[in-house]
Amino acid sequence: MSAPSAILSAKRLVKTYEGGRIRALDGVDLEIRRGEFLAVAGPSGSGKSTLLHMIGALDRADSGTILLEGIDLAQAKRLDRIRARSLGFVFQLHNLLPLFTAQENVEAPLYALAMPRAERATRARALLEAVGLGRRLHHRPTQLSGGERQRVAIARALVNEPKLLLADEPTGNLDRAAGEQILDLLLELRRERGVTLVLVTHNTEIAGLAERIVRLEDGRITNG
Amino acid sequence: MLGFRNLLRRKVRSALTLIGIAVAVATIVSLIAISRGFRKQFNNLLSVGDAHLVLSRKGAPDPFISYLPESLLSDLSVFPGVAEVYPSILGIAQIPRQPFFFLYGTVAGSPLLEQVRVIAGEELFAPGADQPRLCLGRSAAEYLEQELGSTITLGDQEYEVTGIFEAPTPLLGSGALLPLADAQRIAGLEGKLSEVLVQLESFTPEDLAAAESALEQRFPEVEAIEPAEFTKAFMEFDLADQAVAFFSILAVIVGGIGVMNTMLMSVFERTRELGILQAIGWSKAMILRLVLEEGLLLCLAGGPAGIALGVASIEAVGAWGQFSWVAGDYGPALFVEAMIVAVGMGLLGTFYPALRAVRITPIEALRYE
Repeated sequence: MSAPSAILSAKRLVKTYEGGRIRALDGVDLEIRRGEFLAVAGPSGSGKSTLLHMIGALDRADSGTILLEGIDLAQAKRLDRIRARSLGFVFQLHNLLPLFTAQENVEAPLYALAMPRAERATRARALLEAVGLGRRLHHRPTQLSGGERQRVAIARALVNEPKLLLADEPTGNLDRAAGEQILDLLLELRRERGVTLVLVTHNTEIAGLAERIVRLEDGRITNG
Repeated sequence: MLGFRNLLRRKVRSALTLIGIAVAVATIVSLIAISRGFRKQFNNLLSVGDAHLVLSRKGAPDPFISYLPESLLSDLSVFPGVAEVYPSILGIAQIPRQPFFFLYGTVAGSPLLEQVRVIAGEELFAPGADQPRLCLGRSAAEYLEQELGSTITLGDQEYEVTGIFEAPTPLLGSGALLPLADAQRIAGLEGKLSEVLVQLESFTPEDLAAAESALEQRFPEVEAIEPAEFTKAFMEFDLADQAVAFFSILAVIVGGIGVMNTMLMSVFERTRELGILQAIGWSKAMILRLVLEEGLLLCLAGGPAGIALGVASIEAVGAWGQFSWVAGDYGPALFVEAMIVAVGMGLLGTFYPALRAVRITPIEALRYE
């Protein structure tokens, strides 16, 4: 890559709730460079998750612009396509489909890309191998430990080869040891694959692992 | 198949919904088959041999409540183009264990007798017999445990069973054939006739149409119709069709609400899951398809189950001696109609839940955290 171009560029983002009484985002400007590991830190209620939803094309801002690889998310008609092609999510809770096996869960995003069955399976297996669950392909979420479930979630987030990986307190529900393992795995996979990672956390220790930290407070960036 | 998987996850609920659909479909199939069966039976009853036209009372509600004056016969027999007339009585008597004992009063040579095959005893009009005679249909004989020589009390008189017959039409086979005068007396219809079978000298379609209108013009109280369309003369069959339609619609509504209830529960329960699927890239169309697929699968399974249940219940009723005159008229066409109803019910019941599913946003689902 030549110049460290921005993969995402947000300007003057505003998002309010309850008819404007709550300003979750109050004029946020943010640039995310291709390949970087960015932490979004701040206390709970600071607007971290809201920001993640905006840049993750899960919700639309009230005003402002977000360009993801040059596409304006405020104008895009089909946010689902953008999510399917360019984004991966890891949530605090694993959010796996309870009735589906690990492999089927990892395959789920590929349905949105209309990928043939065989290719879906190959990709999902390869990723589950990569997260160390090669021998747990056919286990259901209830048959897996908390850490293992989060590994499945990471595999699912990467299966569509996203440009941007978004993680919202991915270790929030894990004990310290399991949490560290998950973070190590996430960082390792990101390095290997050159994925841009945005990690939302209220934990300053975890935020400290990032190349750059953006702090949010009351919907504004305080260390811009 | 993701939809199939989702149905399996709540086996009891899916099974109960499937049963609901099956019962609705079975209700429709059995009602329609029975009402069509009656039409077919009555149309077949008189569609025999040389019966070219059937006369009944204009405006009569059903073939058993059609009264024509016996005096009509002499006028009819000299009517131009009429070769032969065969009067008949269709009556119902109440006897122990059978409140619907069908009596068919007829005369020697009547085309009605052509579909009767005597399997024991004598023909109704065997030569040289003058005591009260009665030929009993085979299924009536079996149900009433009567045999040749046993007696049945009808009205104030005892009738000996002098013959037992088989007939292709269950309505006939579950009743008794008697000479016209006996049937008139038992049914309290002295001097009256139910239907008159008319044999014409010439019976091209034009002749039939001409004879119909000429007869109706000459005898204003008479409705003349071809035997194969006999039931068109009676309002009751139309009323029955309307009742069937009404109950069918009710069944569809009940079944549809069952599907809707199940699918709504299943959608509400999975708010988070459906939101997550969207977060990982599934489009609204894919969510819609998933939910519709589940509803349709329920109906595609419930439809055949309902058809089987409906057919089984008609056959069970027909096999029950007292109702051996019930015969369902069903076939591939009705089954196809039933499947269309089942699928329609599925779409109807799944449409709203699917809309609710589509309205779920990923954000809403994530708030469940």
